[in-house]
Amino acid sequence: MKKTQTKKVSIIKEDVSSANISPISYMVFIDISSYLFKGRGLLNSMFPTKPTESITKWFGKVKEDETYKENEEAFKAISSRFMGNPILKKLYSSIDKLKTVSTGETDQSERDKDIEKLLGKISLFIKNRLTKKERELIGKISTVVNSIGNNISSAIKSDLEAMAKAEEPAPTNPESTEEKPKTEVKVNERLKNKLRKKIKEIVRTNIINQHYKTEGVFKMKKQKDLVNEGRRIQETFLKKVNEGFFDKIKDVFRDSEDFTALIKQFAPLDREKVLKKPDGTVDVADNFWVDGTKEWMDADKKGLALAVNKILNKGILHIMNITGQPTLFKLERWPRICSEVKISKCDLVSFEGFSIQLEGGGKVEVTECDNLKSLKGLPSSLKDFSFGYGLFKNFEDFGDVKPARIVTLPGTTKMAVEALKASNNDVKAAEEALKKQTGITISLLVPKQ
Amino acid sequence: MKKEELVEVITQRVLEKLNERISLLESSGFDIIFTSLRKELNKIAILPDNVIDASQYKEHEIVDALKKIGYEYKKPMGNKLHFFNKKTSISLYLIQKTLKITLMP
Repeated sequence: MKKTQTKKVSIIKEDVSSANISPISYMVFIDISSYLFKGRGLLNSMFPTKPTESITKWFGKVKEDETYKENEEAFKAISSRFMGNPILKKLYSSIDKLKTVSTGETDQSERDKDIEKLLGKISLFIKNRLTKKERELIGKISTVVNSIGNNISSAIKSDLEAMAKAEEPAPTNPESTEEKPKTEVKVNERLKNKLRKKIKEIVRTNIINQHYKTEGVFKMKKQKDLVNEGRRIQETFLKKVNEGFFDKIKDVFRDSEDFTALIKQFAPLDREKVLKKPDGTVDVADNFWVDGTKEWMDADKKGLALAVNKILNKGILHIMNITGQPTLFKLERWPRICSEVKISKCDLVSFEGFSIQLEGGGKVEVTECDNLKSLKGLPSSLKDFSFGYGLFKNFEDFGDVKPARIVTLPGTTKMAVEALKASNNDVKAAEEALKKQTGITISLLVPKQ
Repeated sequence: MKKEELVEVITQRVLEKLNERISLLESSGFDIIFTSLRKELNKIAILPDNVIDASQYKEHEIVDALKKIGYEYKKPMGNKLHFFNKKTSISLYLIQKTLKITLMP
């Protein structure tokens, strides 16, 4: 019996070492970065009792490989894609179950076949999910990956051998063994398991799916769940208040992940202040002012930006007096959508990081931002860009941005000055010349006296 | 702030959070995908035709973020990687070369 056991295992091992890329190598390939950087990967599901450190050790040699060094980022991307994949996890743990399940003598050869089949299935699953380049990459790193694969197959082998030893029957009277239909019982158990699986499958595909086909039922269930979740959070919170919330505030945070996230998001926000316009009135939907000279702007930029994100919807965003922020849109979470952005007296150099969606193309108006050098970063769908005072010198600095209309003072841009000179200060002729030159309607405003 | 006031404020915020979640469940538009992804990757930007530009991040960071918001990797499709959200049944493509995310047409 032991002989047949080792024979089958050796088949697995042969399979690993003889082919250019063995089935187990695919498993190694997707787990490289998981073990090198996160210290844990999918293989843990296959060897749950084995210490993670010893699995990580197998991967140590990859670090020295030139192909790995050159493609470290690609390996990280591959690992993160497959990490935690539920199907793979299930397949891996199935191998573990097969390794450790107690079987009768006749079932052992069948078990080895099953393991081989599963390994093949896993490798095919992974292979089908790799891109062309990644398949080339595994070819390049095959030597290292195959040698780690050998470690894995040896580990499977030793697990199977240990299991075989444990199962080896004590010497008994041959007559008495004939009487007991041992193998039949085991086969029956196997059949039972198969039947259970089939029943589960039928329930899942036919009964549960039928139930959730009615969209309304599904929605109601989800909403109900959410309400219950809310109630639970509230109850936890109230309970904690009664227990002395102010003393144990940190404990409350630790209790619910959801609650912690909630507090983190909203705790620094003081709505009263955020909603106030410069004149002291409060306007929610249409206009929003961010004034850098106000104390609260410096106090909590993140909280403020969150508030803006939440409150402003398709209105006008006014940004003023923000110094020391040359790329002020790098501030976290500016509003998602607004129709117009008015920026004045800011240290703005470019629109780098600008990710505000401008309603219907939108309008951006910049005044008294002397440092602005480029329009790069503004959405290319921008309809209207006006630039009042300032030292914006080159229209060439637009990048991909081609606003439908630009309003500017004649003396503030080099091109405008040249166009005016060429047209003998005829504003209309200069505007036409500029349109021909840039493809943009440029309105030259006469400065206010 | 008094205890009662604090309770009220927090309750209000919990309700807001719940409403956000309900709207996330009920709607599955591009805007919502962008918003939730932006919570993970704050430098992403919207490009025309419902494209999200995530080129400021590395591929594995984008994949991790997509996974966090419920998108599971399915398979490669040409130079794109197909991600699928089971809850909303929405598919996304991550273009490996440009690191841009597009909605399935």
